[in-house]
Amino acid sequence: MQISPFGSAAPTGKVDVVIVGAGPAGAVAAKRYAEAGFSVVCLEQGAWPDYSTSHVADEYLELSANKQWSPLPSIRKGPADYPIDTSESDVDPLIWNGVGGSAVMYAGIWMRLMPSDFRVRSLDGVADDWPLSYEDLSPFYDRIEQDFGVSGHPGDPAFPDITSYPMRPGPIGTAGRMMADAHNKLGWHWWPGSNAIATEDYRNQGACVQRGACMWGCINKSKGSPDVTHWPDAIRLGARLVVGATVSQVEVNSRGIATGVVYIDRNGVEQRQEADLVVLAANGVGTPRLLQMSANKQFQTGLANSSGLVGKRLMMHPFATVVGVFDEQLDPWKSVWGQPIYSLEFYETVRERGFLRGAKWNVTPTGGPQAMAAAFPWGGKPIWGEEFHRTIADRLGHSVAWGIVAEDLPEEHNRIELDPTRVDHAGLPAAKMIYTTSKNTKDLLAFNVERAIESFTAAGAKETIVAPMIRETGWHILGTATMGTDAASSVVDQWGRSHDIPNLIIVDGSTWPTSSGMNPTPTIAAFSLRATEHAIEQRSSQVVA
Amino acid sequence: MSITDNQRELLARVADLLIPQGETMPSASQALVHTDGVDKVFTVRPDLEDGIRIALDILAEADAAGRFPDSFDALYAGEFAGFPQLSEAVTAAYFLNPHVASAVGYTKRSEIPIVFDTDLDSLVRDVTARGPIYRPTPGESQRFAKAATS
Repeated sequence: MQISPFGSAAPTGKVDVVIVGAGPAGAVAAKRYAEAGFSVVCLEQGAWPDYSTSHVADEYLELSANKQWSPLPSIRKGPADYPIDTSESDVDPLIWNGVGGSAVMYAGIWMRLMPSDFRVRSLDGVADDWPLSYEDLSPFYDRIEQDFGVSGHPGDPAFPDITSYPMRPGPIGTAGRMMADAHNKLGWHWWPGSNAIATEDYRNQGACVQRGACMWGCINKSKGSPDVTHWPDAIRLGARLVVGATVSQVEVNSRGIATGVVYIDRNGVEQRQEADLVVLAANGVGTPRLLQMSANKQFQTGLANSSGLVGKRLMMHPFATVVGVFDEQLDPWKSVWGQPIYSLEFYETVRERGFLRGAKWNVTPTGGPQAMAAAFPWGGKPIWGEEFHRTIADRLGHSVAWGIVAEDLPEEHNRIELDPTRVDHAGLPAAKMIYTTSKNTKDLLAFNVERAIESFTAAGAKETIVAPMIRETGWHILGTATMGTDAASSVVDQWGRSHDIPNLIIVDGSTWPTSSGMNPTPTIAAFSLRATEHAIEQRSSQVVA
Repeated sequence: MSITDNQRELLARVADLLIPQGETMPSASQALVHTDGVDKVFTVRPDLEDGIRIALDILAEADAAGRFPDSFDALYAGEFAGFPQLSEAVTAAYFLNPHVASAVGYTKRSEIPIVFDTDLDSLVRDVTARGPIYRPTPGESQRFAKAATS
């Protein structure tokens, strides 16, 4: 029998920790708690990713990418994909509900935040500072990069202290070299891409074979998604992962202490998991939705919501794409997908530009022949008809894109609410997303698009195409249970601990006070590790039910 | 579930409006989009069938009325239901044809063992020479320097 730090029995009945969500944040927490001897149950509404349905190695890749492996739950329509009303949102959320979370479909792009991302109020006079600094998180980045099998080239002068990566980066390829040369010519920053993609056999990961299909079911398990990197180890350490478990409520006692969660199991039967600690890792939609669904007589506006900020300050990282078409043969899909190179030239605030904050760019392949005919990123008139063959010949293998991630500042009117009109498969209220892209974000994107055109022009592109703004860009869902030092203006503290409920901890991206302009998974994972280690250290003084 | 012979004949005609014969490339019907091609598509994307059937029903009506479009522009101007599914299936089916795939240089993603770049330090020399580009944390800028010397 496992000895519990809180004295409860494992693995059945009451446990030390119940975690909601098996994505990066939940997986990191589960593994670390299990390592420390805690009894852990993780409840995940989805299933394990089924890589047997992957088409990355056959000719059906692009077809499956538009359906079974689509990042859009509204297209994929998997059994665990709950409805989200986006009729009042500029952007549709992209979420994978299942073991590994949305990292199952991410490109593996791996970016730390920069120091200024933690001090937006101090440096730029807007939004808020984080209650922790880059320096506080840096050692956890180091460890998380080991755990997610990150490959990269150390020494980027955009960061204070990246002195090593677990593996060397994948080849930057013809397209990467072309854009690197252009930026060297312009005097602009660029750096070889850092990716959670193993470039050699590493722990649970196999060496990447450069199919360029990271987002649609990596059968080599080269990509660092938690179903590969964390869950096999966490389960071996004793963590219990329950799939098909849709959590409906966090329960609290009369003293306002969490006692556990209620969930609907895969057979539709309501279950109760008691625990000393409740950890939420259900992403920027799922976490506020669960807190709102947990409202009771004592907490009528939802749990952990004395600040009134649960669900508010939603940030979505609107995304722009600029394509360059070249005479040269680039064959950009013959590589790691991730990011061959990135640029942070326009990341920091320069007030003369007329907006605050900035954006991160990464080179991204444009794909195979079907992608050449798609509306995105090409825009404009459909290519079919007399121009079809010429257009395909121009684009296929000859094009590459800059993907531009814009920092989105927090605004309270951007929010997640419960949908009063629809329910999910378990009869629980659906989510409603209300989001408007701000003028600052639009100005920021417009500036960066113009610079990206200059970048391609310097590289010798014969044509540049600015992709139309589309709704399906909500990869990063942040800010809806913000952290801070003041309980009146934040939901959790720097350790993810609820100001209101001392044994409720939130470890996902909903805690972010500002969004940065970076791909968020590394910081979500590092924050979760830091919060978890703090909870482990505090075990003797932890208030429990 | 599949489509009828009459629907396949109609699909061949409309597919050739989307993908006509090129100088060196076959048309959609020459690439058997309406037979082998679309059947292959349905094995992976049965969800496209309903939309295609709706589109073909509309085109059958237009054909019976003598209004079958004579160009892609005329077809597209019609903005008819099922066009997204029809165009996706026709395009996918075309590139699934082995001769077409070979001609455009894309069959499927192949395994390419990694050969590491050995010149990255020289490639980034200009970038590193310009020095740090980040704004340090106010009051924290010496923490790493202290750690490095302690």
